[in-house]
Amino acid sequence: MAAAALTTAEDYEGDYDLDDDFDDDEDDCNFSSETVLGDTVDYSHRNISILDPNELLTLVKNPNRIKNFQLNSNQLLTLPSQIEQFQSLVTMELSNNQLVQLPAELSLLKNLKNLYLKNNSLDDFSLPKELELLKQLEVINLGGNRLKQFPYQLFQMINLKEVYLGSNQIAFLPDLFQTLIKVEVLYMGGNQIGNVPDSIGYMRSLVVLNLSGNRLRTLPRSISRLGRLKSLSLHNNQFSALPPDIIRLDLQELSLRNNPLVVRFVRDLTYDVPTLKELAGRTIKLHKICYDDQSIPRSLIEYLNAAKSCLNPKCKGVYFESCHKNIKFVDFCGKFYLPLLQFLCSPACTSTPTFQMTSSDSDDNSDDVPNKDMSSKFKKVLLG
Amino acid sequence: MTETLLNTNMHDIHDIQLIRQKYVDNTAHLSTHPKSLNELIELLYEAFATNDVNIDYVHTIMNNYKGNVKEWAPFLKFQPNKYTRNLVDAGNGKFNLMILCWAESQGSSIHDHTNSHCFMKCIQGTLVETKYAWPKDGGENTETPMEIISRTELKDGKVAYINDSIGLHRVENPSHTDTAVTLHLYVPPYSHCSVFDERTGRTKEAHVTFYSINGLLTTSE
Repeated sequence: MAAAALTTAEDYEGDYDLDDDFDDDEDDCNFSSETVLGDTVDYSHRNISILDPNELLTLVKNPNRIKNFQLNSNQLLTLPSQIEQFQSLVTMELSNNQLVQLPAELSLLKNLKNLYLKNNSLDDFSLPKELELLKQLEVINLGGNRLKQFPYQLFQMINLKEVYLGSNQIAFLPDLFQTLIKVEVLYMGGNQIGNVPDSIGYMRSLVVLNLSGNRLRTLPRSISRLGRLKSLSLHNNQFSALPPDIIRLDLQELSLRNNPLVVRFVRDLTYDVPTLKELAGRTIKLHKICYDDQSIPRSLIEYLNAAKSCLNPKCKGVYFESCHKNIKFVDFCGKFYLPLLQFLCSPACTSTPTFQMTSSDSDDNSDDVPNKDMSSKFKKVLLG
Repeated sequence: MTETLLNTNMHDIHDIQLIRQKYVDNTAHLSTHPKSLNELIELLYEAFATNDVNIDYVHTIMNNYKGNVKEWAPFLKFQPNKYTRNLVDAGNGKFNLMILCWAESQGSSIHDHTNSHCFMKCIQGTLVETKYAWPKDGGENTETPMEIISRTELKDGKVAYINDSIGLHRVENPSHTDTAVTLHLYVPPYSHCSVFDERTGRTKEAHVTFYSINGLLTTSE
């Protein structure tokens, strides 16, 4: 249970609302002398359902000097278009309201870096298309809303660093994540996601990935390309086994509780008998027979080039479509057994059901023992 | 509670009155409703001054403590990968008072409490505590899923209590949008505990550390 802090310079502040105290019995006044302080406007906890632009602009003499606007914990349904006058705005805090619509004018705030919209009533139609113009946006929090789709506007916001979409109703992730190369934190917990697309592998800055509380059964192989990923939350899903690529990651935290992970060695899963084409392809690859576009059609060249290596390190074989799914149990730190799903070229490639990742005693096998580096890598992994 | 002490000649009544007076003098300054963290800490030091500790009394003051966010601020440190343990007071070795910060969806492993009393008060957000029975000892090679005893929600200052004779537990922040904060009291303090694999009941020793002490970050490993 040793905590290893991420090597980020700042602490993640959390979204701790300093006024959300269960025994706060201070009086709420609608206007205080502290409403405007320097470059901050604090209109939070005012019980307002409409932001009256005239009142606002009377109180705030220089809207174009304001950098920080706190409107959280009210009953706002939307914002007035006059919000565009706050041209210097860097942070807009609108969490805990009843927002159903955002004005397109929000997209005119060219300095906006942090947009907090947590716990509102926003659905897929509430976010104007113009939002995609916020190309300098770094943090967006849309948790606790009514989104059924991943907002497409986010893929255009190429400077995003943190994306929070927890507790919505998103069931499908489009395969467009290759633009989000600066995102470090992606929070998708508490949705209905059944599948993670391949393009997630392009998110090379990703450090924290939270997919907890969804309907996932597997992860794409591209996950192994996330070289900076340190924290992976997969708890409360439908994983029965994990892709072995997970071993390649340099994780500090991996949460897996509440998944139907297989406990005992599972007998061979389905094995489709290979086609003649597959068998021929395997032979060509195994014996390194030369081929080029003079000798065989282009389509066959592409087929042969798509060969996948058998995961059994002692087998030099390859497979194309017909692979044998095997569950191998990886013993972490001598105590936990983690089932990894492996693709092998045939059942014959299956060695013993379990193999040790810890250094010493390997009583039941002498083959495919991974190097000792892996066991220390995963010592700090928090399981179950 | 006021009482008129009668000046009487009767010897035993006089003794009883003396005892009462002494009790009133010693405890008059103590309230069981600490209004600040410092007051709570002061009460805890008093409660642990001798080797006899009244656990019910400790539960009461933990329950009645009403604090505010300003006094917790130095200990509110959230991390995106794991919950943090922030020591508030080391209690002269007799107890540890700490604040745990749980970001969205963060949870602990299933663990025991190394023969200590554990009080856990929810001071922000909501937590779910799942209690588990100790795995039955079937030998080295048996693997049996662990049995859940209960599942309770903790919020608004509610205090949960556990020790090894009651069972094991896992604590989680179920929210995907809001953080949670708990105030923990361990009597006596411990630095190691056992963690358990829910699917198999297998256990392993874990070293327990602090993310910050008195508001200052400890060095990470």
